[in-house]
Amino acid sequence: MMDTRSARLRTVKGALWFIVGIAAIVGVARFLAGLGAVTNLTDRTPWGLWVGFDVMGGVALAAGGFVIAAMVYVFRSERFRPLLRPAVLTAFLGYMAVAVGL
Amino acid sequence: MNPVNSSHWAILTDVTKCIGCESCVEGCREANHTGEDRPWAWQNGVRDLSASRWTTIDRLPGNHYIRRQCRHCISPACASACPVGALKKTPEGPVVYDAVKCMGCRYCMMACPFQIPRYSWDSAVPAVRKCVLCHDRIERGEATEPACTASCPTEATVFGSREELLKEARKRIEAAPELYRNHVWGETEAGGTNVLTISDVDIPLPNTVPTDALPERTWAALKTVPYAFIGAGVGMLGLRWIMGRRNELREAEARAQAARAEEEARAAAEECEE
Repeated sequence: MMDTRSARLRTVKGALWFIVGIAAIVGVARFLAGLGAVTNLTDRTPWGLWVGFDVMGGVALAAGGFVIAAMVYVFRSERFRPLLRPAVLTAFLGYMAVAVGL
Repeated sequence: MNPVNSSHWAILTDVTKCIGCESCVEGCREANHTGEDRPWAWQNGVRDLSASRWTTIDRLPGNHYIRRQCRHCISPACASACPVGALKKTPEGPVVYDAVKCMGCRYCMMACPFQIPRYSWDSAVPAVRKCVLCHDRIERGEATEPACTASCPTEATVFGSREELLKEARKRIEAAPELYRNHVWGETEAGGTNVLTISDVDIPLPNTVPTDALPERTWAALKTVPYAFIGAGVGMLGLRWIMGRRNELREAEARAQAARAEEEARAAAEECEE
């Protein structure tokens, strides 16, 4: 039981590291060849899917943080306090993604 | 009057005089060090505007040559949309760009109704690129007029003050009404621009070009932001106080109830003992 779980965990971790690896390569390519080479954005579509996905993903992610923070601080609902810190962290990461992705 | 000292620098382009030699394009390239044209895959050919081509000549059927560049709107949507103030309308007229301030968000490219700003997509430190009416060179005293108008061999595009060039445009149209279209492009488009064009053919503009100044439209909504911000803040603070007070009262009520229950229990116990 214990073994299969750690094996599955290792697979997931491997997949995540694989994605990080690809992102690192793309990140280096962006500074070598410019934004156009890695995003395929053009003068005709200066935003395209890039900003569409970034804003949809990042800002929508941050909205959850706002809602939880509002529940705890504005509506004083202690029931949601355990969720507060992870939610605000996720929201921060969401906005970071927007700022970095820009 | 020397246009450099006048308040509104402008360019008047007369399509009927243009021979399409692209001296203006080359003059601009040299003066602004825009570099060689790359064959950007997405363009309408290499002649389209790009980071390395701040002005270009559109070739219409029947040998009509129409020069395209930043039109330096009187009320520029790009400068209005720029969140960091990298694009700025100078009092002299040109809309200038500060690469140090620019964070590369490309809002200006989305905002421009004439679809002029271009981006250096192949650069590690990308910047927005567009005509700045040679504002920097003229300010430094390196030139008395933009490179494009200086290098035009037929005086098809000339530099001057907006008021004078408007008068000149009207004069030319009146002198030859059978030749020119009775319209000065740039007089009213997007609230008026500092680049004017007269022509014997209709100039195709993107259908995004409005008749009024775009920043005034957004201002109608944006001027309410401080009030909305303060209002929402006060509203949420009030709500917080109300909810806190409600929780307090509820707790006090619960405490009182518990105390009463305890009292009753003790009374009952005492009764039992008796």
